[in-house]
Formats: sequence, C-alpha cells, structure tokens
Amino acid sequence: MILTECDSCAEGRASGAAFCEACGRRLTDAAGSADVSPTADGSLSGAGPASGEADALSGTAGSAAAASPAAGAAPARGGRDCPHCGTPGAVGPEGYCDECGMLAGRPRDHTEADGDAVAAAVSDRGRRHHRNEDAMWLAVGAEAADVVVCDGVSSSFDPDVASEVAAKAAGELLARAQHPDRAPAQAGATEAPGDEAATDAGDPDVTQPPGAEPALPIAEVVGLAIQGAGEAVAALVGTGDPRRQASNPACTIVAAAVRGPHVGFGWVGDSRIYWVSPEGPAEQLTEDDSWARHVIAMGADPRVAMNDPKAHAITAWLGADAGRITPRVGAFTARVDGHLVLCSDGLWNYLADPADFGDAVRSALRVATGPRPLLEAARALVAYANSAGGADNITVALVPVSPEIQAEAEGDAETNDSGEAGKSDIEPSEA
Amino acid sequence: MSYSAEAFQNEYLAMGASEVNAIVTVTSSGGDGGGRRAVGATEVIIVDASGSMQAEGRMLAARQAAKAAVNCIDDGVRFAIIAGVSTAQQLFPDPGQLAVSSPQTRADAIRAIDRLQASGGTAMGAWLLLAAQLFEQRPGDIKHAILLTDGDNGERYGYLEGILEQIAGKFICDCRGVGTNWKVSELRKIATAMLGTVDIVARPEGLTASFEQMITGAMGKTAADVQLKVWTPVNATVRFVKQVEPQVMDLTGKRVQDGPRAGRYPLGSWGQESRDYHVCIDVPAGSSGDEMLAARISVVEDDTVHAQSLVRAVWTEDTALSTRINRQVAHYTGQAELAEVIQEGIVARDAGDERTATIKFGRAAQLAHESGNTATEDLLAKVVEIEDAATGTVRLRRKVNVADEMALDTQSTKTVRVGRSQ
Repeated sequence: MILTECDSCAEGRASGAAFCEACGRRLTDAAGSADVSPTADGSLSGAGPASGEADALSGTAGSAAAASPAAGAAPARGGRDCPHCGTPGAVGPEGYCDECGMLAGRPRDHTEADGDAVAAAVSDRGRRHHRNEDAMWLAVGAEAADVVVCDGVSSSFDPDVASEVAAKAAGELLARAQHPDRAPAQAGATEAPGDEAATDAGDPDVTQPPGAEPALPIAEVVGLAIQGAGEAVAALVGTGDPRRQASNPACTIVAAAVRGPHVGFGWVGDSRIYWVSPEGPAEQLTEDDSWARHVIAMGADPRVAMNDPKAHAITAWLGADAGRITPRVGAFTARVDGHLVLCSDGLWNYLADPADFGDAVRSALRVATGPRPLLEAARALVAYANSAGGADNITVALVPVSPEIQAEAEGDAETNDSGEAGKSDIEPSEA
Repeated sequence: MSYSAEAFQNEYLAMGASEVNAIVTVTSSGGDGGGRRAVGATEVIIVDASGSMQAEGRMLAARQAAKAAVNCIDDGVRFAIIAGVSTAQQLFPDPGQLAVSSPQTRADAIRAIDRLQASGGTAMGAWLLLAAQLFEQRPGDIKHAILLTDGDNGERYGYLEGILEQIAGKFICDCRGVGTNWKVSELRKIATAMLGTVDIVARPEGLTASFEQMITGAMGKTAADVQLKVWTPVNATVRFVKQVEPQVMDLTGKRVQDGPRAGRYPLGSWGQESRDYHVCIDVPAGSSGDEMLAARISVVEDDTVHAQSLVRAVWTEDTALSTRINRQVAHYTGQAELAEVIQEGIVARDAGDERTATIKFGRAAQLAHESGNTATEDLLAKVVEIEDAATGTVRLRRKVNVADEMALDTQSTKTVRVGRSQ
C-alpha cells in the first residue's frame, strides 16, 4: 500500500492507517480504511477487514519470497521518514526502515469503520503487542447493523489471519438476518439461511425465553454465521505456512445483528457484548468462555480469578482444533434507548466492573460532540484502554439501539420496499 | 532459472534477547532455459601423478577414472587435464589451451591420459594455480575442477594457503583422496576455500564412479556465480552465515561488503537444487511490541535479485511465543554441532586424549541419532561402539580402520534435511 503522512499534522505514525493517530484526520490513502455509510436505499453496505489477507489466504506464506526484487538492490530513499530513528525517507516498501530496520507501521495497526449515526467501530494495536490480531466487521443499513469482533489467539500461528477471516465470513453471513417485523413470514426468515443450515439452527444454546421474543430468528442467523466463521477459520490449517498445522490459527468471535429494536447476538470465547443504557451499570450480555469465568462460576473471588495468569485462557474458540462450534446466542428487543457495545478483552480488561464500563461508555458518548459522535466515542474508548496501558489489541464497536416508536415504525413502513429490496439482493430465495 | 528463498524462524524474542536465527532455504528450478546452461562451462581435471600413485594399482584406476570423467563432459564444454607432479604439467590439450569437448577431442584426451605415468612429488598449490590460469581465459563460465591426490602436499609450509587466498572464488574445486595416506584437513582446506566437497575413495576401484558423479553434478550446473546478499540494519552484525544442507560450510569469512548495510556471500554455481543456510544476526534488543527487520536475505547474481526473504525480530513479553523452538533452526544447529564434535573427537583421539574423544563421539552419536542422520551414525559406529545413542554412551574401539576414520571425518559435514511438517 501507499504510505502517507498526515497532511494536517505531519505525524509519521499515521502511515498505513485510514486516520491519523495524532490528529484523527482522515488520510488521503484509504487502503486501510473500513469506512461505511448508510446508503440511501437502505441496503447494507459492508466493510471488511482492512489488510486484504482474507481475500488472498494462500498468499500469506509466499509473500516474503514474492517481495519486490527491486528492494534488494540499492534502496531508493523514496519512502516515508522513519518514526523510530528519524532517517528521512528511509521506510522501504515492506514497511521497515532501511537504516534501523524497525517496522514503521501496518495497515491493521489502527482501523476505523464509520457507519455514521448507525454504528462505528475502531480497532487498534495497543501499546504492547507488535501487531493487531483483532479484526472487525461492520455493515450498516437503515436501522440495521451487522457487527463482528474477533480476537486472534496469540499462542496460535497466524492468529491475525484467523480473526480477519472469521470477521469477514461471519459478517457476510449476518446479512441474511431479516427484520422480524418486516419479513413476509416468520418461516421464510428462518429458512432463508439455506436448507442445510436451517436444520442446525436449533443447535445454538438460546439463552432467552423462546416464543415471544421477535428477535429470536436473528439470533439463529447469528449462530449460523458464527458456525460459518468457525468453518472458515478451521479451513486455514491446510493453507499457507506449514506451521499452521502444528498450531492452527484460532480466534474468538462476538457477533450481533441489529434490526430496528431487535438484536440477535452470539459468541465463542472471551470477547464481549455489553448493553449500556442511559444509566446504571453496563449489562454484560455474553458469558466468557474462559478459565476465569469458569472458576468464578464455581465460587472463586472474581478479582482474584481475573488477576490469575490463567484468567484469559479461553475454553472455547474458533479453529481447526476447536471441534464442532456451538456458539451461545441471545436475542432481545430494546424497550429503552441504549448502546450495544462489542469489544475485545483489550478494552474490558481495564473496565472489569460493569459500573465502570457503563460510565466509561456514557462518558465517551458525552464528550463526543463532533460531526461523527459515534466514531469519536469509539476512538475515545480505545484511547482510554491505551492510556491504561494498552497491554492487548483493542477493538470496540458501538451500535445505538432504540425501541420502535409508532411514528418511526410508520416511517419505516414507507421505506420498507426499498429496504427489503436491498436485502433481497443478498438472499433472493425469499418470498 | 528461477529461485525462491524461504526463511524459517521463530521471530518472537524474549525481552532483552538480541540474537536472531533463521534458516533460509534457497531453491532453484528450471526456468526459461529448461534447466540448460545459459553460459559456457569449463572443466579441469587434476590427477595426482606423484610416485606414490604407483602403489595398489592407483595409477591404473586414476587413468580409468579420468577417462570416464572425460566421457561425461558435455559437447561444447571447454576442458583440460593437468598431471600433478612436482610441478603442474598440462597433459591435455597443449599447454595454456582449453579443448572444446567433442567426440574427437574426448578421444584425443583419452589417448593422452594413457600416457600418464606416476613419478615425482605432490605440489597442490602449483596444480591449483595452473588450473586458475586456464580458467582465467573463460570469464563468466561455470568453472569446476576435480582434484585427485593420494598423499600429503610437498610444498613449503604456507605456500598452498597463499595460493588459496589468491584463487578463492575463481572456480569450484571438488577434492578426492584415494587410499589413506592423505590428510583430510589439507583437502578440506582446499574444498572450503574453493566451495567444493571433500571425500575419501578408500579403494582405487571406486574412483571411476566418484569421478563420473562429480562431472555429472558439474554438468548439471546452470548458473555460475550465485550469491547470498544479507542486509542488516544499523547496529546489527552478522554473527555467521553457514550453508547447513547438503553439507555444513561456514561462509562467514567470505563476506564481501556491498554498500554500508549489506554483504555478499558466495554460493558457487547452481543447478536445479535446494540448499539451506543458517543466518545468525545480533541486533540491539527492542522493547515489547517492537518489530524489526533483522535481515533481508536476497539471492543475487551480479545485479539481478532472484529471490528475497525477510528475517524478522519481534520482542514480546509472552513467553509462550518467545520460547517456541523453530524446528529448522534447532535441527541445523544440531547438524553443525555434529560436524564439530566429530572433528574434535578425531583430533582428540589422534592426540591420545581418549576421555575428550569419548565425550565428543558420545555427543555425536546422540546428535546423529536424534536427527535421523543414519549415514553419519553408521560411520560413527565403525569408530566407536555405540552402547546407547539416546544418551550418547559410547566406547572407543581399540582397532579402527584408518579409512573408516577418514570417511567419518570427510562425511562429518554432511547433513540431513529436516522434515518440513512443522
């Protein structure tokens, strides 16, 4: 990709990112960007992982050998200034400084997805890890958002590829979720994901009371999407670097599909979803598949458990060695205004207390008063985690959810045709 | 020819660590030319014709071997034969000339070989110098020589070393010793300087097969002068660059500086083959999360970069990552140690230090066994009784066939390739 400097503040660190890390200004080169905005006709527009590895899985192993031969000859000092040793123009095409050898930055170090008023997400390398092994997916439409956050298991090989592939695979499958109030028939919606998949739909452990909850079909789609992501990640073991076979790529996943006031979500691993209402502690909708959670459930002191070195050892994940994926899913319909927050442990580790988490999110939303308040709030939460130490990669996605009020419902009815048309592109088998 | 370079390493370093190791596998495959030579080739055969060659029918065997070698030379390849006596004498064609291989010239050469008689002394420096002078006529050619001898060099001390310094890199020289009256260390010195191999042909009957194999190998080379270019960042130093497969060869001292941050190491001539190199770099330690390009390894010919691979260093606090052992690095570190302990064991044994010899050979048995280097393990078993290879328990044999010990010495640098399953 083309390396650029921030035009506005000349911050070198900005290279490879969609936005300058110093001043937040959008960079001209958008290769690393995952910017999306709701389209007028209400169809879902997607933003996938930024580095493009998910599109060329087999290419990761050969990439080193295929590097530009020209770089081996006399290096032309046409690059960016090195942020580490300061040598002007020393950063080569692979992103390393030709003098001190230090990596100047990667596209995934900091990525942002901007769904304007519908949703926003930010992923950041943090301060202690050498690369960002988190990945995210955000697709938004009118009153609809599909969000996925994945966290690569760092002890596996190529965890960054695992998270990227999982986020993309799940994100694409989430688009099948129908708006429960607008689907022509409930049966049509559940059959939509495909004949074979529909038989698996009962597998996910639905934690909400069945029957009355209109968001339940969404949760089923989320469960299937996570299973699809699991298959995609499991398939990585046979591709690319042979070391993947010894320690297969693996990641966590948390996914949510929002359709109006209806929310379906699911997870595997220890990435989380919170519901943050205008006041009170955040409500954690997920239950970590982790050692800490396990011992806390058995009566251990939460604080002691969370400080144990094993706290983050996860008990479920996506990967070839994970066996059959049975994601846990949930569904609800919003009765009050609130925000759905999806995040990796890089954020919640610093906000383990639900009250602190709720306060932090509300505070971030309160101070974000610029033209893109959701994105600014997501950035502020990432900045919080970084200021607290940034010991892990940080990914956070914010989706505001409102109860369906009568007037809005009518407005929706008017756009119903075009909105459904957009989704029908993805799932034409309906109707 | 197309080349690929692939680096195997554990790039994760513990905090404070500053040593970066990688195994780089360089593989060449037939490109546009279908594996045919794009440049010319020149072959020089040096046959020791000193008086001692009369013993055990060596001269007869050497004549037969030289004839077989001549018959293996492809049409169009330039060649010459040097008779090694107290001075270097060109046996074929006329002095200072190179013949162009054809059925006619090969028949002429074979008639010339029939005239070869053993007399006089051994002067390897002079022989190699004449070969170098003949090769000088053919810049750009793939240049290969065979040196056959059966005894010690008779030149004054230091002369051979001086010649080697002068002609190193000018051609590849494979050395063969026939019988057991020659010194492995002397031929290894030549082979190492000239990027060639050294081996024992204990019985004269084996010479023909050995010569044929060397010539066939040389005829398969399609690129003359391939080099490994190693770029390292400022404040980093190359601790060593070693070929580790098919045999151990330390290239560290052959570095030629190429710009302020890079050096070139000669890899010799290449056919369709694959070799492994162990590169070890010392870098300044970074902080947690830092990622550094510790080396950029390129396969180059003149100014053409054929392939490139990156060796990285990433500092992490996660010991699960930094303590991972890379199989390739571990395997070849073991193979290099195997060569070292065998040679040290032989030196100790010759010096009468049986205790050290037993320890060294014991370690060698262990390393050979662990790595599945059965060829070396079998040779070792002829010098020591291996009681338990896993623990390295060995006993020195009282009676050791000299040829067996020399075979172990020459073969000590032969390595086996690591499995690629991990």
